[in-house]
Amino acid sequence: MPGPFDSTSTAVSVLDGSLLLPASVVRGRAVAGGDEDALTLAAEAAFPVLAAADRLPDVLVLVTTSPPYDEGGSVQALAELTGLAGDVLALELTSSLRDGLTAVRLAAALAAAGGATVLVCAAHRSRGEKDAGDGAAALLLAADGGVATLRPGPVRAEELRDRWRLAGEAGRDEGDPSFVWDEGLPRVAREWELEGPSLVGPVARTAARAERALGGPGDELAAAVGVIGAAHPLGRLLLGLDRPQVLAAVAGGLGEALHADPGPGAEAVAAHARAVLAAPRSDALPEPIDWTRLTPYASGPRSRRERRQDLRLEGSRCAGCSRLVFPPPVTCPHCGSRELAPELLARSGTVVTEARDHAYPVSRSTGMAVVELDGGGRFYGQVVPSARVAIGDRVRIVPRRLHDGGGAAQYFWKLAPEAVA
Amino acid sequence: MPIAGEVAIVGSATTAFGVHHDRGYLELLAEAAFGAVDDAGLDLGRIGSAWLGTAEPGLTGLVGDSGGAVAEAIGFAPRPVTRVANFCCTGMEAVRAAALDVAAGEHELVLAIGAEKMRDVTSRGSLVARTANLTHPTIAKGRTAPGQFALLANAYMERWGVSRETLARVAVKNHEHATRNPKAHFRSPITVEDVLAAPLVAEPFGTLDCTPTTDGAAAVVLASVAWARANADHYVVIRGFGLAVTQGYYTTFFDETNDFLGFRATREAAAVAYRQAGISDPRAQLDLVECHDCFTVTELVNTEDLGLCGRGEGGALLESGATAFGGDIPVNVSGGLQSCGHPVGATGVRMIAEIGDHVLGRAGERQVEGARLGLAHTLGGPGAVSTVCVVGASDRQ
Repeated sequence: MPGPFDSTSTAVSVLDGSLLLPASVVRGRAVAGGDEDALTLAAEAAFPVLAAADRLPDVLVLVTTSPPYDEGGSVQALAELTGLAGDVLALELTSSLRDGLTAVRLAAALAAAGGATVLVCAAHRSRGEKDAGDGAAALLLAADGGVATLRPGPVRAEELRDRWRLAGEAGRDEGDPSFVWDEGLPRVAREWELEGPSLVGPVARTAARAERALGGPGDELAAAVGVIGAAHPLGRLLLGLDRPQVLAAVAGGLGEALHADPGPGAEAVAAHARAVLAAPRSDALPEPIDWTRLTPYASGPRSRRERRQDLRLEGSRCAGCSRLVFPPPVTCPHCGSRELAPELLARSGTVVTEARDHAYPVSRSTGMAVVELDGGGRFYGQVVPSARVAIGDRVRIVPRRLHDGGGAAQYFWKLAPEAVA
Repeated sequence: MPIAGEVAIVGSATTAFGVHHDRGYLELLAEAAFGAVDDAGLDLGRIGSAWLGTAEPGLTGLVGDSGGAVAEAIGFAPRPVTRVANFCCTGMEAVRAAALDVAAGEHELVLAIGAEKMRDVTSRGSLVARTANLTHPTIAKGRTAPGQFALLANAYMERWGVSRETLARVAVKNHEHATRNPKAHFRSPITVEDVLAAPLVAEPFGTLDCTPTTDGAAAVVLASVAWARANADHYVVIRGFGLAVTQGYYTTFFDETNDFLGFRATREAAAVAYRQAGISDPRAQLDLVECHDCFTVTELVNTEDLGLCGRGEGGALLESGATAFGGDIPVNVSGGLQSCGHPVGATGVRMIAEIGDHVLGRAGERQVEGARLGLAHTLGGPGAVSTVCVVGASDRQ
C-alpha cells in the first residue's frame, strides 16, 4: 500500500520564500495596524521575493480567509501592488486555512502542465479572533531549479464544521473542542498515518495536542504570534525549509498534506524566515485609526487611471532634465519637457522634513514626512501609525489601506522606519 | 496702461474681523462695499464694475461662488461682476483684477471686494475638514494647511538653529500689535508661555501659532491716477503689483528643489513688484509691511523672501525688534493674520486697505509715523501662489 506521499505525485520546487509579520505582538498574537489588511501584508511578503527573482511569475495566487472584498475580487489589487497586473493568471483561494497548502498543489499542477512560475501570497488579517495572528508568507514556485522540493499528499473534503462564518455574518462560529478532537484535524491526521507532522487547524490548542501525539516538531510560529490563517502552513514550511517536513492542514473538513525536502540553498530561505520571527517587535497595540470623520472624495475612473501611481509608486523620468518626478506630471515642472517615461520610485529614502498633524480629521494625530528617495525624486505622505520619524531618518515606503472612500478600498503608500531585520 | 504708478485706491473699508454669528456673508460683503464707496465719496451708481474675491463658497452654501453675490448684496445689477479665486491670494487677486479693469480703460471706477464667511460651520465642516475630504484621494491624504507649514517650521528650525520660542515670539508680537486694532479678531496680548502651552495643531504649532478661523470682508475702490488727481478727496497709488504662480495644488511637497526654507512664489512676486516700484533696498525704502503670517514660521520666511533680511536671518530680524511697532521695518502692525484672522477672500484686500490707511495717515493708534510706502503680501495654497502689492503716497502728499 502506497504511503500518503506517493512518489508519482507532481512535485514543485521552491525558488524563494518570505515570511512577513507586523510590527506588534501583543499577548502572543501578531497584530497588524488598522491600515493593514490581507492585501498589504501579502504584498509586503512578496516584495523581497520579487526583488530577488530573475523573472516575473506567470501566475499569482492570493490565499486568505480575510479578503478585503466579498465580491469583485481582491487579487487584482495585489497584482498591481506587485507589478504583475496585465496578462497574468490571478487566482484567489479564500475558503479555509488549508488553502495555503492547496495553493502549492495548484502551483505544482500549473508548473508541471505549462512550465509556469507561480507566486503564492498567503495572508491573514484577523477580525479579533482570540488565537489568530496577523501575518503573511510568499512562495515562488516552479517545476524545478529551486532550493527545496514540495510533494503534495492526500486531500480531503467532507462535512465538518469546526470553524466557520456564514455569508453576511460578522462573527465566527466554532465547534465544541471534544468534537474537533474526535472528528477534525487530529482524526484526519491519524487516518493519513502522517509521521511527525506539522499540523495546522482552526483550533490551535487542539492542533498542538494532536501534533505532540503524532511526534511533530511543535509549532513555534503559533507559539510566538498565533495562527496566521491560511499563511500559517506556509509560514511553518518556510521556518523549517532546511529539514524534511510533513505538513498537514485540515479546516472545515477540507484537508491537504504536503511533504517538503530541502536542497542546497534551503538554509538561507529558512534563516531569513527565522530572522523575521526573531526580530524585536513592539508589545503595544498599534495606534487605532479612526476614519469616521473622513468621507473622502473618490472616483472609480480616477482610481483606474492613476493605478500605477497609486499602487505601483510609479513616477516619470524626464528626458529633458533627467529628473524623476512623482506624481507623474503632464509636463516636467523643472524643464517643461513633455517627454516623460514611467519609472518606479525606490521604496526607501531619507526624511527631508516631517510634521505630526493633530488637525487632520483621522485619529488623534497623523505623521507626515517628505522623503528624498534613494533613486531620485521625492515622496510626501503619511507615516504608519505608531511610528515616529525625524529629519535624517532612513525610511521604507510600504503599501497600506489608506481609506475606504466611495465604498472601495483605496491602497497607497506610507512611510515606515527602516526594517530591523 | 500698466497698473504700477497708474492705478489709484480712492476708497477703502474693512468690516470688523471676527465671529459674526449675527451677520451673513452678504451682509459683511455689503458693509465693506458700501463702506469703500462712501470712503471714496461716491454714489454706488458711479461704479462701473466689481470683482469679488471669495475662496471657499462651499463654507456658505455656495452663496459666494459667482459675481451674483455682489448684485444681490448691494443692488449692483446689471453691471459686470466676476468672482475670482487663487488660494489665499484670492483677495489680492480681486484687487489685481480690478486694477487691470481700470488700467485697460474698460471702467473708470471699479470695486474690488473680498469676503469670506467661515464660521457658519462647525470645525467638522471647516476648511481643514473639507480640504481633507475633497482633495486627491491618495497623494493629498494626511495633509492640512497647518501640517504643510509645519514641515517648513521643522526644516527651518533644524537648518538655521532657530528656537521654538522665536517662532512663538511672532505670535506674541502680532497679538501685541492687535491691541491697537479695534477690528482685529484677537485683541489681547499673549506671552511666549501662552503660545507654547496652547493645544497642538501640527507640531511644532499650537493653536496660537495659527491664524484663527474668522469672518470678514474688505473692499477698495480703484480709479486711474489721472481720475484720482482730478476728483478724489484722498488717494494712494499702486506702485507695484506682482503675482507669481509656481506650482499646482499637490506638487510643491514632491518637488526635489524645494528646500522647505522659504517660498519661491514670494521671491518671484516681490521681484516683479520691486522692479515696478523702483525698490532696490526694501528694508530701507519700505515704511511698513503686511505679510502673510498664516503660521508663525511663515512671517519669518516671508521677511527673508521679501528681502527685508538675508536667508536664515528672519529670526534675528524679529528678535532685534525691527519688525515690531516702532521698529525700523514694522511687520503686521494690524496684528496680521495671527490676530486679525484670515477670512481668505478678505485678507489681501484688508492688507491693501491697511497700507493705504497708514500712507494716508489715518491708521489711528497703530499709525506708522510718516509712512509713505508700504507692502502687502499674500501666500496661497501650499506656498505655490504669491501676490505682492506695493502701495505709496500720491504726488499730492
